[in-house]
Amino acid sequence: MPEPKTLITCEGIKKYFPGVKALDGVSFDVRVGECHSLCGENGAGKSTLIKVLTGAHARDGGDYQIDGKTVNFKSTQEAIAMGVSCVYQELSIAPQLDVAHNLFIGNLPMKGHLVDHKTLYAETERILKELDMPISGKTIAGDLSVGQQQMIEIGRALTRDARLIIMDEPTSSLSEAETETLFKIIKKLQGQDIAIVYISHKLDEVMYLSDRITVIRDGQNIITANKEDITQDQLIAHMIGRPLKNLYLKEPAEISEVMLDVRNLTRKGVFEDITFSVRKGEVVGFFGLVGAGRSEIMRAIFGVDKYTSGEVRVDGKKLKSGDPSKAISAGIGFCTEDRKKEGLALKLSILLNMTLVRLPLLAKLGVIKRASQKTSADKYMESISIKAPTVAQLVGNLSGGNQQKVVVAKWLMMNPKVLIVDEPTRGIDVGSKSEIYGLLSDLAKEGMAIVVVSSEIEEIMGVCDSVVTIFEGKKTAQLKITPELTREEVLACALGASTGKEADAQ
Amino acid sequence: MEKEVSTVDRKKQLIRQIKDNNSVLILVLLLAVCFLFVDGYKNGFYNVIVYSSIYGVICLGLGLVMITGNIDLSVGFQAGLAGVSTVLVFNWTFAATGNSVLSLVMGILAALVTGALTGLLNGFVVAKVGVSPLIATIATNYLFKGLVFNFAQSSFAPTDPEIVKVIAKTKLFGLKWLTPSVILFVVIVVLLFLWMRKTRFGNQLHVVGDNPEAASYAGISVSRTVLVTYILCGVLAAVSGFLMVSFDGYTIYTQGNSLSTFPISCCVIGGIKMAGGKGTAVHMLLGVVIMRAISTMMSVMFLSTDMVNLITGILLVAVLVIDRFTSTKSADE
Repeated sequence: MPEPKTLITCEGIKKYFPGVKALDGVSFDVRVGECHSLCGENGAGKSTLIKVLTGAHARDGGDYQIDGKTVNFKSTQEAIAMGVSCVYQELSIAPQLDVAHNLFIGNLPMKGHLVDHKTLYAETERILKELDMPISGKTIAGDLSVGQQQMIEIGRALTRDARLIIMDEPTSSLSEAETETLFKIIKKLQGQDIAIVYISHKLDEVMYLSDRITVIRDGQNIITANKEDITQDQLIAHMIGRPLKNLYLKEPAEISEVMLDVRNLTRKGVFEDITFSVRKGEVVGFFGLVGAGRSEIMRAIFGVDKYTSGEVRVDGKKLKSGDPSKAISAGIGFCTEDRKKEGLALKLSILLNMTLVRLPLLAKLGVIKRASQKTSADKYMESISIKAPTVAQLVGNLSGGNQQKVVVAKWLMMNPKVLIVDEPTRGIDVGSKSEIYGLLSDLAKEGMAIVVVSSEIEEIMGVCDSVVTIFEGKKTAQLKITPELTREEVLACALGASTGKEADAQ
Repeated sequence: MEKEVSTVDRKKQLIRQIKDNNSVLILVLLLAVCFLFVDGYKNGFYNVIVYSSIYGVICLGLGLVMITGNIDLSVGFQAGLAGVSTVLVFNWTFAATGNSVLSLVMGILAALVTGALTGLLNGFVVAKVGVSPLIATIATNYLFKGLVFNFAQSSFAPTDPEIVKVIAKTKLFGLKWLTPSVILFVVIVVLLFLWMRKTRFGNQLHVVGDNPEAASYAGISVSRTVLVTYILCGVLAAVSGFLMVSFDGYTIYTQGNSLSTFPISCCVIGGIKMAGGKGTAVHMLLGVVIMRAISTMMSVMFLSTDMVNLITGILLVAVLVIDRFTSTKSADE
């Protein structure tokens, strides 16, 4: 075997922001055609490092070389020209443009001074085929599913003759099948000598894909290891700086009377005949593929969407369809899937975000009582340990994990009887995840009925008492989580198999 | 399976096509009603075309700005100021040389330069300084208005108005509706349409309006794109300003006054979205013609301007409501 060629080398990269050392001397290298994963908690400096690599940020110190030559990118365009492309975690799709224009955004094929539409659509066809996507290049991007949009972003890198593709949490919104396609594509790209820098909080993906793994913590690289030389537990230990005892801290809670009772809930064309109940102290998981209708069911229960038939009862009281304010006063709290879009006002303070639902109770004749607003916010800052200097901090400046805690706190302020959390740990690092799980467990112990919607099967099996599987809008099974239950059984149900193994949760 | 996907695909595309181009439908219905039921509309129809060409160019500029997701409330007085420049420079040149053709050329150049400068100011404040486009152009609107008032408080005319009127008033081939200004307008529409479709820079307008973040990640300079559209907008407003002088034979401050919201209405009714990312030059053209067709209908029916405003308002609200209604429905599907 010849010595692998190095594509990029970083030596002691530094990047400072006012008051923060985001990168404090990071060194790592990527070889031609390898898949190199970057691991670290949120705020460890991964995103900043990517931005330096792609030219979005200028570095404040250190050396960055491509093919042995130092580069100083002033824009992402220059990086792209040198073969460094990035698939960002936040979707950057132009929803009103068609797929072809999205794939070739900023890079349209030209014939002289004019755009070459023939080549544009022919190339689009080719790339869509490579991505295994049965859609037309003229489809408007906004009509695609989130997973498909993510694939378009990945396709973008393919249009640019990239030599290095950086993928930042590419699978966070992909279904299992799409994820598998992505992995196949990654292997194929590696075969074409394209290097991948892969960033994910899903460590099993990291372990599966990587040739080498680099852990970053507090703006420094902690270790770089070949995949064979490191275990997942060691990886986590390096990421958080201490050994992690148990990610899932589910403690037994006393389960008593039914709190949330959903019967034959149907929304035509979206989901049908959903029946389940959640008791005090019980945690019920909802598992299914992306697009199976899990979130839609929750939205209907909470009243954001109307349902066609069926009924929802909270503590015996029937709820009106399509009225979230009734659901809130009946005692349902709903932490939505997309915290940035639906859960938080990023430009406002923690204080206001946290007390948003509770404001009516904190006001007298419409005037907010500042003091009690602040006391109640402070209380939750402390009790669920949100890491921020004060409650006046803007939510947009918090890490993902802390943002999620603000969302949870917002609902906890209402003392809900039922708490629905949709993808509670998406895009959150291991340490914060563990804290969120602990929080859910504590809440159940205090007698709350909790519904957890998740696409991560480990998460469901780690934190729930039982799991409802949803396939194409229908409930296929409700399984009790026991040490004997396997991942495969749950997955089979989520893929449409009916086991008949109904748990007697009714 | 693949086939299934593509038929769903095609159906979705068709619905979208119809929705995006509903201004065609509005125009056809409107004209059908006018021609069938309004006496004398046929004879007055040439007015729709001629007026559209004069006030249409201003809408084209604004439309570009709206596609990038911005707004320009100062187009009216940019046009007004360009008209003032035309008259000023025309008169200076005429006094110095006595050559009316040279004066006209200089006058047109003056208008274009003025438009480029006013557009540059707007673009600089919005794209480079980062002021909200709404506030920025309200402010610059006062500035332009102040300048116009200095010169054109009462009517302000070129010394040889006849030569200036050639462009908007000459009837080519004896046709009442075919003036050089109409040809100019159509040419600009076609050029802008092709520019946005065929050139790299033209393609960027939609991207920037649809998702500026995606644009900048793709290496597109958002601020440069926005700056250029504001300059173009200023130049096109200036063309309109010149055509107004050419049509009336003079300029007056009230010109700009009535043109602050009219172009926005035209663009919206034509199918340009306030949020940006949508529409072509043809949509802007349709919007202008619809708005002019309505006001011509009103004047043929001897209705007062209040009635014109009322009916335009109703139509606008209806278009916006229908748009909202159909878009939520398609999102539900």
